[in-house]
Amino acid sequence: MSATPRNASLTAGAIITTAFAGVAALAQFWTPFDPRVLAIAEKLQPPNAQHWFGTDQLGRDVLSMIMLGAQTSVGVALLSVVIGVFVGVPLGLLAAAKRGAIEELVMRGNDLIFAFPALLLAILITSVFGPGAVNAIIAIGIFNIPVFARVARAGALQQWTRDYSLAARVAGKGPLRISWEHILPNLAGLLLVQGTIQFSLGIIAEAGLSYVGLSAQPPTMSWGRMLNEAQTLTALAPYLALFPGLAVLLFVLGLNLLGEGLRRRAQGAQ
Amino acid sequence: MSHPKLLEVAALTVSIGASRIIKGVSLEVGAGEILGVVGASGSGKSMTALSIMRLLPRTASSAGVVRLSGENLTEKTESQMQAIRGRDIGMVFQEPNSALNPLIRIGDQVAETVRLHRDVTDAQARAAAREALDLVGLQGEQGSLDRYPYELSGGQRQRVAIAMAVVLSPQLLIADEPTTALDVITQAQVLSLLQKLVRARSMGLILVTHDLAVVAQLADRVAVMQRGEIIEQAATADILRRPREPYTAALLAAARLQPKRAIASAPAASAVLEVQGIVREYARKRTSLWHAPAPLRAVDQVSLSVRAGETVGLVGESGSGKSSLLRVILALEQAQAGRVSLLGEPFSSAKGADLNRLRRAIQVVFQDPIGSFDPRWTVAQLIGEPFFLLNSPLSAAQRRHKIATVLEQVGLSAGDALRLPREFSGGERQRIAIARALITEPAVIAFDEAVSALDVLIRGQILSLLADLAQRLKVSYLFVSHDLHVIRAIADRIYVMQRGQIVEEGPTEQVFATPRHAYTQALISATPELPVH
Repeated sequence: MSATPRNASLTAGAIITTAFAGVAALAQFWTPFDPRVLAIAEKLQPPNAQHWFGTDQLGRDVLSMIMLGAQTSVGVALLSVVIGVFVGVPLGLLAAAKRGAIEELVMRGNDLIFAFPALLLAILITSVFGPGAVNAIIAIGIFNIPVFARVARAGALQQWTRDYSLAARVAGKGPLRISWEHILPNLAGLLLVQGTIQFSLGIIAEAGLSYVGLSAQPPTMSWGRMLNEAQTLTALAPYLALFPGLAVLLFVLGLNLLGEGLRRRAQGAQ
Repeated sequence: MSHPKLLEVAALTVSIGASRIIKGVSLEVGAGEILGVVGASGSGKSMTALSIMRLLPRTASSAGVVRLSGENLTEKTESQMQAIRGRDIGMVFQEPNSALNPLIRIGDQVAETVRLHRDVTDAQARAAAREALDLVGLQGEQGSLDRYPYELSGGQRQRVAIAMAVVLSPQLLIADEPTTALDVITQAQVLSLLQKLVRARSMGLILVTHDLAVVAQLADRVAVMQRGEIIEQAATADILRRPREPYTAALLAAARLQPKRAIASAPAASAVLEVQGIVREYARKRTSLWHAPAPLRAVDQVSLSVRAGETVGLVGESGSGKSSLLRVILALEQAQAGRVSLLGEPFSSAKGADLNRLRRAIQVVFQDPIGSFDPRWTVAQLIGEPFFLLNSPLSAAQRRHKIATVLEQVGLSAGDALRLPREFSGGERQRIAIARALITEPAVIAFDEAVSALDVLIRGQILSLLADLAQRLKVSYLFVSHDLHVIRAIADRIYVMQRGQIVEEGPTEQVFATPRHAYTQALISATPELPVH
C-alpha cells in the first residue's frame, strides 16, 4: 500500500467539470461574438475558422451561445442541488435522530414527492408561476430534497449504531447536537458524491425543461432551447443540434466520472 | 508422541508486496495429533493456515515446501489443489455465519462436498451427509438435512461447518479460531467434538487460536508465532511449564490472570449506584392485525448495587441482556419499570441540569476501540467531549491541563492530545476511552466488554491499569463481560445474568468456589483453564 492507486475517473471527471465551469465563468466577461446581436447576412454558416461551431438561422455564433448556455446549466443545476442539500439533509438527519413519528412523516413525505412524475410537477409549477430559470430551479430542487433526505438518513442511521454517538449521549449531548457535531461531518463524503450525481441529473433536467420552453426565457441562452430551435433545421444545419447536444453529454459524463472517482476515493480511504 | 508424520511444512515464506508476512515457518503434524498455533493478531497464524491450503490472496507470493503424506503441495496445479481441498485437507473458519450459504439446506451443503470429490449418486451423498451430521452431534430432528442455516444456532452452524470439513474423512483438518465467535458453553462442546474426531479417525488437526487456555486443553504440541515466525515449538506440557522464549512466558502470564485478592469487605461503604427492579422490553415486529405481539423482555426485574470503591462484575453470555441493562443504567434508554439511582439521587427520571450533573458521576468505556471514536476528532476533542456536562465552560488552559492529566493517568503523554484516534493501536485507543471516562471525575465507570477485543498481552496491561486507577482514584467499576477469567481478575463481587435475569450474586471468590445456580456451574466448568504449575 505504498503508492495510492491511480484514480483515472477522478482525474478525467475533475478536468472536464473544471473546463465547463471555467467556460461558464469566462462567458461572463468574454465570448467570441455577442450572440444577442443578430447578423442575418451570416446565417446558417457551417463551422469555419471564424465561427468554430457555425452560426444559427439568425446569424448568431453557436460557440458563444453554448458558452452562455453553460452559465444557465451550471446555475440552475447547482442551485437546485443547493436546495436539495439545505432542505433534504436536515430532514434526513432529523428523521434518523428522532425516529418514530417524525421519521415516518419525513420519509412518507419523500415518498409523496417521488410518486409525482418530475416533468409533470415542473410543468405544474411553471404554468402556475410562469416559466423562467428561478422556477426551473425550484422545480428541479424539489426533486433533490427526497434524494438527499434518504441518503442522509441512511448514512446517519448507520452512524447512530456506532459507539461514538453513544459516548456523545453519555456526555449529555442531545440528538440534534450529535447530528451536527458527529454525524454530519462524517456524511460529507457521501453527500459530495450524491451532490455530483444530482448536479449531472440537474443539467439533463434543465436541458429538458428548456427544451419544452419552461426554463430560462430569451434572451438568456440555454442548451435545451438551442436543441429545440435546431430541430426544424436538422436537415439543413445538423451541427446546430450536434454542439449543444455534445455539450450536455460531455458535461454530464464529466460529472458522473467525478462522482464515481470521489466514491472510489472515499472507499479507498476507509 | 509417536505420531506418523502427516504434514510437513519447511521454510515457508509468504510476502505481500515488499513486506514478508511469514518468515521461514517450519512445522510438522502427525496423524492423530493436534498442533496448536498461537500468537497475537497479526502474527501470521491465519496466513500460515491459508498457505498450507494454497488459499492465499492473489497479491501474496509464497516460497517453501508443504508436504502432505509425502506429496509436495507447492508443486500442484490449482485444479489438483481443488481436488485436495476438502478431500485430503478440511478447513473450519471462525465465523459460522458466513461459512454456510444461507440459501442452501444444510444437508445439501454437506452433500455437495461429497459430490464434488466423489462419483456418487444423490442418495449416497445424502447418506454421507447424514452420517457426518450425526458424527458432529446433530442427530434426528435437530440436524434434519432439510433445515436452513438461519434455523440453527451459532454452535449448531459451526457443527455443520465441521461436518462439511470432515465428511470426506480428510487426513488433515485446519481450524482457524473455530470457537472464537461462540459462547463458552458452546465452545466447550465444539472443542471436545474436535478432539473426539481427531482421536477416532487419527486425523491431524492444526488449531489456530489466540486463546492459550483452549490450546492447553486440546493440543499435543504448541507452536508460538510472533511477527511471522515460529519462535518456539514444543509439547504442550513443556511449553506451559517451561517456556523458553520470554514472549511465550509473557503470553502465558497474561493468560493466567490472577484472581483478585479479596479486600476486606467494607459493607459500611454506601452504594453509589443502585438499580432496582429494572424491566426493559422491546417491541417485536407485528405479525397480526388484531393483537400486538408479546414484547421481548431483554431485562427482567434486575436489581443490583455498586458500593463506593468497589468493582462489580456482571457476567453473562451474549444475548443475556447485559448491554440493554447497561443502556438503562446509563440513562440512554428508558426502562418500562424500575429505577436507577446514582449517589442516592434518582437518575433514570432526572431531567435537564440535574441529569447532566448526575451524568458526570457515571461514565462508560465501550468494547470496540475503533467505533468508540469519531474518526475526525482529535484525542483532545474526544476526551474533552464530556466537558459538555459542566455548567460553566472551562477556560482553554484549564481544559488542556485536565486533558493532559488524564492522558498521563492512563499511561499516554500530553503530546498525544492533538493526534487522531487512527494513529493509535487498539490498546492505546482503549486507554483513550478510559481517559474520556475519567475526565469528569466520575464515581462509577461502566465497562461494556472493554477488554474483549484486545490481545491477551494488551488485555493484561489494561486490566492492571484499571486496578491501579481504582485504587488511586477511589472510583467504582461496573464491569460487564462474558469472560469469566477477566471478571475473576478484576471484580470484588459478581452478578451472573441469564436470559435477562440475575441468577446468582455474591463475592467473586465465593461464587467461583461454590456456584449455587446450575447456569453458573455450567459457565465455570465450560471455561477453559490454563493449568497452574
